[in-house]
Amino acid sequence: MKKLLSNALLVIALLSLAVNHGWIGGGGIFPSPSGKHFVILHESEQDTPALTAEFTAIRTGDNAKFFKGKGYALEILDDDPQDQDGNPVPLVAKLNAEGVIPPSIFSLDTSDGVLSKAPLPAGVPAIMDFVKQHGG
Amino acid sequence: MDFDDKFLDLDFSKQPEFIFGAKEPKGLGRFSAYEDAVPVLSDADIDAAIEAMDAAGGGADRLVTRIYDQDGEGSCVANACSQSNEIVQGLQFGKDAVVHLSAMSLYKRIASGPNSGADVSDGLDAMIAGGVLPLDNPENRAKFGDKVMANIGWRNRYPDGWEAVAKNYRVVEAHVVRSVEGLMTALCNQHPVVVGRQGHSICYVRPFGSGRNRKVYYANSWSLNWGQALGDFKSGFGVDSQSTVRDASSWAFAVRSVTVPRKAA
Repeated sequence: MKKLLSNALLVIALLSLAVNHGWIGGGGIFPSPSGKHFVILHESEQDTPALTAEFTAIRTGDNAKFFKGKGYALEILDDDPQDQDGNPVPLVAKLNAEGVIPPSIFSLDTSDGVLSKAPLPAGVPAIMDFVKQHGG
Repeated sequence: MDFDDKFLDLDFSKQPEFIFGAKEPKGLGRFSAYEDAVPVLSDADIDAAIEAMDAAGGGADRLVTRIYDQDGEGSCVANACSQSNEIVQGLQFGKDAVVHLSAMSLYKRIASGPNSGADVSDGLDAMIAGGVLPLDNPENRAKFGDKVMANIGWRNRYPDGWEAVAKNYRVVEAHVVRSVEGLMTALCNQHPVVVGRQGHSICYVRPFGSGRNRKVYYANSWSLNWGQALGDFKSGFGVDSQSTVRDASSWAFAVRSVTVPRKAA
């Protein structure tokens, strides 16, 4: 019994350490999503009020609650972002090579494999439909 | 849009919370202009964008996750800069994923003393070059250990190795704003704009009104004990009319993107 308790405490401690350090759960210094996730790419030089309003709508209210409830991460990234060292972000380079002109949306598996890709649908409801359709 | 005229076009220097903090910028000219990078909207397009923003319930104000408190130190520039960084983090990664930042970790690199104030252009330079350390709070302590810093306290020391963490929170794309039209375009595009006026620095987040009656909401750094409600907050925001915006637009920059931190392959 003592051994079982001790093992359980060890597992809890390790899990806590992993979450705190962002090794799991997508937190920490590196917000790299660890599960199924979505990426929207856009060229921020070509942002329009209508497009950025869609982004904010996705980030707030019921849409944000939907992502949180499903545990889906979403990154809305410039199509030529930099990492902490000023280098290109490999995932974005890979998505750009998929040949979909930004603004675009991708659903990705746990290993960043592309499950689906499309030009960003017009309007928030259509974007959320894409997410629901490809989120599983 | 309703606004509280108690917080309209404030002469900052006459407010009890005021402490000189924003020096006249000497180096904004070295940055590329927003107006050269992004198509500037026409007057009619700006009005239409504002109307749509109102109908949607807001703009970048809805991405604000925190009202800063400079607590009597002359660090307004660093507070406004850090606010702009957090707003763009909110857009890129989601509001729940925003890492709140220590304005003091930025201010110490661009000022000569607790009340010396700083130059808006130096704030932008430092955010681009070295980034900003996470705020010392329980969430960040859990993620970053001691590589955090309080938002206030000039005498606070940088933790060893702070640079490796701060660089994750850099600004990547930003531009000096050269005109009211450029500034309004940036806000319609929900790119936050850091400005300085009357020795104080604030972060513009949302335009409202039309034609000559256009105004702009800003997030201030005088704590939640000051200002009016907006977005998720019951206080913390002020309002500038277009004539005041015109004065402020000569000390302004807009932020388009921040670092995407990634583990090394």
